[in-house]
Amino acid sequence: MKKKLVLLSVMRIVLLVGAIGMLSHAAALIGYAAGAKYPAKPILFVVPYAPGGGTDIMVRVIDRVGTQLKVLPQPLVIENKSGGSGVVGKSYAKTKPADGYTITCADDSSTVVDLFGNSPWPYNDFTYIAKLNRDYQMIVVRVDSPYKTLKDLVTAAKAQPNTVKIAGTGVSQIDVLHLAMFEKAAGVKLNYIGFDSGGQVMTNLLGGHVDAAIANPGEAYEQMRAGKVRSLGVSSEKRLGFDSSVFKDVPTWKEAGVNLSLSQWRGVAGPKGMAKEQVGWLIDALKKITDSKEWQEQYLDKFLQVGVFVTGADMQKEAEEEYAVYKTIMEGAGLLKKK
Amino acid sequence: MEIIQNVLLGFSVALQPINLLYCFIGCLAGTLIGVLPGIGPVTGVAILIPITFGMDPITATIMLAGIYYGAMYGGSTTSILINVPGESASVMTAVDGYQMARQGRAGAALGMSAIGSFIGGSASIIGLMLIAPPVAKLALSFGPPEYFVLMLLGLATLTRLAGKNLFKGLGMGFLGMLIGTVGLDPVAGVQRFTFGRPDLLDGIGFVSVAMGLFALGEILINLEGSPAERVFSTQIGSLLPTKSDWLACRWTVVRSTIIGFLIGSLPGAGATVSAFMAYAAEKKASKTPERFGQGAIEGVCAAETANNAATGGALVPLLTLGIPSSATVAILMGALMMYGLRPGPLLLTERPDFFWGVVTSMYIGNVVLLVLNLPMIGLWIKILKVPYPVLIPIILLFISLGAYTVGGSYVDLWVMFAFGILGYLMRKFDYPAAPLLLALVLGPIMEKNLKLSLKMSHGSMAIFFERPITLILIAMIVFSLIWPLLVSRLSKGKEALELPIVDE
Repeated sequence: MKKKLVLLSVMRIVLLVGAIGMLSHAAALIGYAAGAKYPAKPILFVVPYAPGGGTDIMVRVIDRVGTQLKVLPQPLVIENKSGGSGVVGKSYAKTKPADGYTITCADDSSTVVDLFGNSPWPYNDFTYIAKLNRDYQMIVVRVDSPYKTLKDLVTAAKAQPNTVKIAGTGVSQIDVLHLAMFEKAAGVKLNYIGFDSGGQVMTNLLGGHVDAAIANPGEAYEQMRAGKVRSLGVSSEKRLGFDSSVFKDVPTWKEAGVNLSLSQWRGVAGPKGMAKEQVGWLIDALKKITDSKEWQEQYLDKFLQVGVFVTGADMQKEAEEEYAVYKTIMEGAGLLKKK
Repeated sequence: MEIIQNVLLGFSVALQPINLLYCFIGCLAGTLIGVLPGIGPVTGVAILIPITFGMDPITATIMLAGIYYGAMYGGSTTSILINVPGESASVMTAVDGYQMARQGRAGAALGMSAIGSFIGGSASIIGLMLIAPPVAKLALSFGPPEYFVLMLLGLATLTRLAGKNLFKGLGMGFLGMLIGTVGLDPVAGVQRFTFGRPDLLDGIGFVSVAMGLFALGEILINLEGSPAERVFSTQIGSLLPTKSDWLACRWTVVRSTIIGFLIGSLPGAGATVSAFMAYAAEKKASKTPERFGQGAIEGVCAAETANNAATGGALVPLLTLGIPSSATVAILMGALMMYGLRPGPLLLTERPDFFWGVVTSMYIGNVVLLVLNLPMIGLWIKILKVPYPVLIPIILLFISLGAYTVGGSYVDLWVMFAFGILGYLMRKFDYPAAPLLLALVLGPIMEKNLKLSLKMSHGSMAIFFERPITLILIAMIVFSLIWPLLVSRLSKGKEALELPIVDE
């Protein structure tokens, strides 16, 4: 009899999965038909990266804080579709109707992927909703490194171009671009070694296989706190206000003699052509969430992010200006693959 | 003794009823996740992170760690029973495990993999307690050149996975490497063989390929036989390994634990590579290597012991340095940060209760898994009694769902079907699948590290001969390639090297 039992339970699981799928479709139809007040059903948030990554965490905190504060009437439905530096998930979100019930992540990765020629659609083919946070870049070295200041590193790199090995995350990614901007501003040429993850970057820095690394404050913080890694400078306009025992003495690149500031950002967007009211509702909701002290504590402080709030057309304008800047940089560095 | 105090501290945390409960829940969930193909430990841990919010960080981590190593236990089940390796780490388990099942020895294979997993898992935890700092140092000493040569050593084992015909095996290895080139070039970032599809930018998914070659290929080949031909031996035999199985595996366990723990601790290598390496080492050590691939219990034991030992190893860099060594561990690290813990070099001194609590809970978890899994064997092997016409559609549904779940993309389904047909043809013409899969795993890592090494050295190959670890590894490669030749010379070329001339 047991084999029947096993069979039955397998069948049951299969049926259950199917039923859940159908139910969610049925709910969708009901929501539509009534023309009910938005949002009449849960909103799908397509996270175009793997679970546990920076973007995924951001979305999950939005969901958690939004539900806690009752800003979101129902929890978000979070679906991770990773691949192609975010292209796969964003493409998927773009195939959904622009009815306000599917949103996804907006970030500078869309711009970068487009410029590197790996995106099937233009980077700004979205309804921009809100930009929520900034992240900065630091040049870090091991504590025993001969480079005590950014100037030391720049001087060494100038004396012998292409010999200072600097690790970063990925190829055809923002680290490559930011480093190209750094090289241009500092007038140096570094030897970029692109790894697959921030973890590998840190391993290779600590293991002495590279001379320096480009890393976000959140990636380097614990190593700095433990006295293993030193930051030579940060790409922000002002010094960072996080844990002052660690960041107080980290100069900005400008202070350290490299006239450049840059940042990465994350936010929320939807498929092109969303209605004004829905965008407005989402902006309000995100404003309430990101103004809360829960957001500050659970996301910004914990992951060393700086909160911003830029919405709709302003956000699109910023993205387009950024695109133009990046494009020029890439042309100058001979990186541009897009015709 | 400080260590004893620490372990006691750990047990005082891990034995709290709430932590025991969640350790159990984590192990159970992990086992289920391991059994379901497609949902590997990465997805499993990620899915369950949200429910851990609001829990005590130690309790939550104990549960997530349970899922992580529990999935390694569970992964062997479907590999052995229905030739469906749910995770890349259990591919080598399927090779001999499924053959054992066909011979009516599924119970012994499942039992040996549970016990091998237990020993490998527990020993690696003891390793984590005792020698984590030096092992972490070793992990740091592996840069791109070391990885390249390590992967080369892995590929040198291809010759051992090749089966009867060396040329066919190597050919499959080349095919695997070729498939591994699909996607973005790892250094230049140029698209290769993607046909403009964003789904292919990250390459062809390993799980889809493995399930296609193994499970689907097997189903197709079985459809050829007459319905009267039973696929499995009707009698199921003993539920547990026999005494001779134990004897055969006693050194296997030791060797595989060491290989698994060390390779697992290297960021980027992980459980899959360690299972391949342990299997190859076992085949090399065996007096009867021809049994491998035909249902050798040492093969099952090696793969399962190593992939579980790797889980302990993988936590070494995370807990001592704050560096994640694999995708799953990276997610675990993200979760720790969400709980307000600060995984980094200071974690061990700032939160000894956390470190020792989680590590000792893993020890308890391994006992839980053994107790959980041994009685399940009786239930699992009942699946083999299900008539094949009923079983096939269920397996098909199961693997299709699995292939889709990996990336949530239909492309993975098509990939699986395509490789199913290839798997069928390979079976028909006697081409081995394992070299293809090994090369598919190792090829991209090898290529990336070769290119990075050469970028570091401005194109000079000398970088591989200037570093102590690469030199040791190169010596091992040379030895492993020359040894069989030497042996065959010494024994008058009688038995050792099976060149294609002696093809069946």
